[in-house]
Amino acid sequence: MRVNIIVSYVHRTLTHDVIQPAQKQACFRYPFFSYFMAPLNQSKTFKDVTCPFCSLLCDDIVLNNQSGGLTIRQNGCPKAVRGFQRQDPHIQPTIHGKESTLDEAIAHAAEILGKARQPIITGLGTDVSGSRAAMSLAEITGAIVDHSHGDAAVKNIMVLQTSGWMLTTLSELKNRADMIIFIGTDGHSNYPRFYDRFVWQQDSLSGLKKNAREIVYIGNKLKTLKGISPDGKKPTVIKCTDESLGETVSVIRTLLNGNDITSKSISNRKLSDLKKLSGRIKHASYPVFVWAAGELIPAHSELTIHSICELVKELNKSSRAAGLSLAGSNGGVSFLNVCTWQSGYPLRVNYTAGYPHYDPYNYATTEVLGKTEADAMLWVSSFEADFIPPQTSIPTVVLSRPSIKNALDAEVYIPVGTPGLDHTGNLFRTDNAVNLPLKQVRQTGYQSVSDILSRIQDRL
Amino acid sequence: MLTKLSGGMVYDPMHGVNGKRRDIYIRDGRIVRKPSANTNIDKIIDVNNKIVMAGAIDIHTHIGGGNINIARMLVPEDHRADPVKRTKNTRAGSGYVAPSTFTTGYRYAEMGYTSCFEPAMLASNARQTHLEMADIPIVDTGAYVLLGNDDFFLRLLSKGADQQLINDYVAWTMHVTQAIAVKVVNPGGINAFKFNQRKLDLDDSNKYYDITPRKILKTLTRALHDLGVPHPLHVHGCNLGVPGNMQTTLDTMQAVEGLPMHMTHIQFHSYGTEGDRKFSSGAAAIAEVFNKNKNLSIDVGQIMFGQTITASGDNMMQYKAHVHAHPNKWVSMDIECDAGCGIVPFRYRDKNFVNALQWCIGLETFLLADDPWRIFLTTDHPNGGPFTSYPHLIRLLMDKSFRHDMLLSLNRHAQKVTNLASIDREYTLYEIATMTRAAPAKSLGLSGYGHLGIGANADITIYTDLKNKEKMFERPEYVFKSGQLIVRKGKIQQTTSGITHTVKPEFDRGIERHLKKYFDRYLTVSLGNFKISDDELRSYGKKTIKIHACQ
Repeated sequence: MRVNIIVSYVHRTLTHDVIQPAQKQACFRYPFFSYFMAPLNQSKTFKDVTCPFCSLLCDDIVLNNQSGGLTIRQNGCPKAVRGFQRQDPHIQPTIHGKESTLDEAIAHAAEILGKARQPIITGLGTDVSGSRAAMSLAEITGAIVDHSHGDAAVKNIMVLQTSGWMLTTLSELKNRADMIIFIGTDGHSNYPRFYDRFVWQQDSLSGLKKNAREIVYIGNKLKTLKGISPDGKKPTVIKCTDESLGETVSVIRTLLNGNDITSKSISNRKLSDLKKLSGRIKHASYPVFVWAAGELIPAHSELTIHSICELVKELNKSSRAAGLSLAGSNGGVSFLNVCTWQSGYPLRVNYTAGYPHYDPYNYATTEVLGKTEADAMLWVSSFEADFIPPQTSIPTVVLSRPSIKNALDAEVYIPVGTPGLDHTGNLFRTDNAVNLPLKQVRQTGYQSVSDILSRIQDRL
Repeated sequence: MLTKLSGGMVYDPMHGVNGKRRDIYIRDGRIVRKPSANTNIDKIIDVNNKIVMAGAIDIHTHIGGGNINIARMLVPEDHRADPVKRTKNTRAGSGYVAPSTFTTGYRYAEMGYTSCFEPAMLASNARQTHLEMADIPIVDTGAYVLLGNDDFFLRLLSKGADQQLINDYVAWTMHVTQAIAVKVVNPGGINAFKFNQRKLDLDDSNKYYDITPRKILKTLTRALHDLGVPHPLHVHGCNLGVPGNMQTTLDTMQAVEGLPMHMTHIQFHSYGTEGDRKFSSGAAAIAEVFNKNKNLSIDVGQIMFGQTITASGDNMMQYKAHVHAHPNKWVSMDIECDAGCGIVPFRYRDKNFVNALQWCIGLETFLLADDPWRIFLTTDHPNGGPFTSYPHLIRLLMDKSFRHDMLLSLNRHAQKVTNLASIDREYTLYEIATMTRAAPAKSLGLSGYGHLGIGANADITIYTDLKNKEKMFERPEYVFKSGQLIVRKGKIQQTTSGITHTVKPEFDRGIERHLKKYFDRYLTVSLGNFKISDDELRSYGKKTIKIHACQ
């Protein structure tokens, strides 16, 4: 496939200037990658780097920048390797797939968003300052704001806003959890270093020993190998279908509350297995129940999460227990927090009326686009280059990590820097308590989402 | 530019000025001397007979950080009922009891407040706290970092670490979290709750570390005293909300052996067990001890009737309180081997005996405490009620007949057991100015704030003197922040960004050797990333960090 993208090799320093017109221009075949870090032939090592590519935010990464190419030296995982070591193509902004200057692209984006009667700003794979800039732009343009992980997030939010919960954080889990019950998630498929960093530790603040934890999985087709302790103790696995996860949790909840169940089997499980498990949960000092809203089947997830949270509350009447939600990668937890402190609501807010109006269902991106209730979309994805915006016929402005695919398809495309690689920033961790700083570990000249959005806003 | 505020009646307790007609001159954001006769004055604002005070300072208000943001997230109904539209110079927002950040800043400024202090910043959540405060426009902000429930501190104490090491740790924590003071919440109790203890009185031991709250209080008050931190240890004591906790409070007042200590939202800690309902006021007994012990300061945490939401680091006690949640939804968290949080929505009802008596206890405390330099006006926003109820509270303090009328509308049993009706005291404007300006500035060590002397930062609030003090205080005529006119007749004229107030006591950097080992072994964040540098803090939006002197 020939693409009409002009790729330049320009080495630029990080300034807030407009991206200069390419000094050398040439057409290349897709796929194209270039090294373009300046200065060349220099090597620098960065320690304590925070990885922004999942919401665990591992901040012990050691990486090397050799002439602009990043290599993880210590503490990586497949996600980190893919994220840090991707060699971003050096591309220009485009309008209708044709290269433009940054100024032109910003002006055109401002025109689209300024003219729109109901824009939607979504995706929002960005850091705290990118989210802040998006909120500001949403206010000015009367937009709806949502996040790419909104469908999963809203399941948690509905439980929170209906009945609340008792949660814990990663350091607490690491130091206190003598039993970890994974429900519908194995914990590591989407969060690769969960066990290495938080579960199989040498020692803990509460005297909990390395092999002392009991790991339990409830669910279907979970990868349970990581749950084997260093001394070979196997985890307990309660198999049940995705659809019967909520039921299984409810049965455990019923048993923990001392109520009787007459049926001998539940979801093809012998009740006696669940009774044994309940007994052990009851005797644990600090069992933690882990779920990942995005890994549960949508039709059941809210009820399942609700059952887990109520179970945890009830356990706490006499002993301690806590929940832990794994969620909010792609800047999700950050967006929910910023949106909450600025608007009062966590997501799916519409500023058309001049004030934030919250509707967790009708302002979902898929709903809004499906019913053609928006007439322009701004899609932001600064961590993942090829996170493609949902299909729509309305004019679309895309800000993403440099992506040739996005550059071809959007009405306006602006490549942006990745937080934690190309510029500093902050992100919130999955546990919604810790916020970590991001470092700048290379220089590409790509501006941050917040810079670009502020410049769009200045044109309005 | 030189501005003259002409002919106002000035209340400036820091300089003993009690309602004197004075002209005030402002240049470059500061109050300056009267210029020589031939100096050109750019602008003269006639404030003849208006009441002129320094900008008000809220010493204890939950406005930023994980706790209050979860509170915001929990109650969309609170925000739906109070949408705030964008205007040409203000951002949109929402919320009444847990308002959004922008709305928080505007509403404080509209009431003449120019500085607000978040009293419960978890060290592990300090970034969020400062990020949110950066989105609170106009007012200056600062935060008190929580200590005393973190495992590092409790381990030090249980190993018998010497005071110097503790002091270094306290100072280090203040530095790296950009704090201005230190608060302890339910000393050792939040930690004990993680080990399933449900109550920790002053001399009870945390069962894992074998440390008592008394020991924690003594150690931390000593540390802050040694370090010369202006604001003494800010103490949210044991047994919050429990009938009979007045004895714990009285014991706590004596526990620090004469060292300075601030006891916060003391209303929630002043409950006796007398009477048929086993709930009574301890305000008189506590005020008596308070009046005698000049090392103590307090803020009240007055409750206000209506819906609110309680947000506290004290999840041991908030867990207990969840049975009263209204509406019935609540959150509790154990956080990062550091502290916790508990969020419980609550409706205070004037016809409910306990709530009515809580209201009386707060007012009794205000009226029986005799030194406005040591007592501060708070509702522990939003725990006792939202900060927007301050004008109403000021009227209750300044207007005996209004207070009496309110009292008569309350639960009748509560009326019988309170001695509020027999207290004739009415606060004066001078005392209000002391309690809401001069005293908090002095207590926090904010040099150049809370007064109207030469060189002071020109944070100035000007009221029309009305008989109805609620009306007077809810809508100042003029509010200046650093010399700029921000509010005119209760309306925001322009928005500015305040500054961050901190103190940075000296310490031995060798403490980081201990901390590095601890962080690597037990925590989930690297030591380097735990720290918030000045540059990082400025990048959030509040460009100026003011470091106040240690004494």
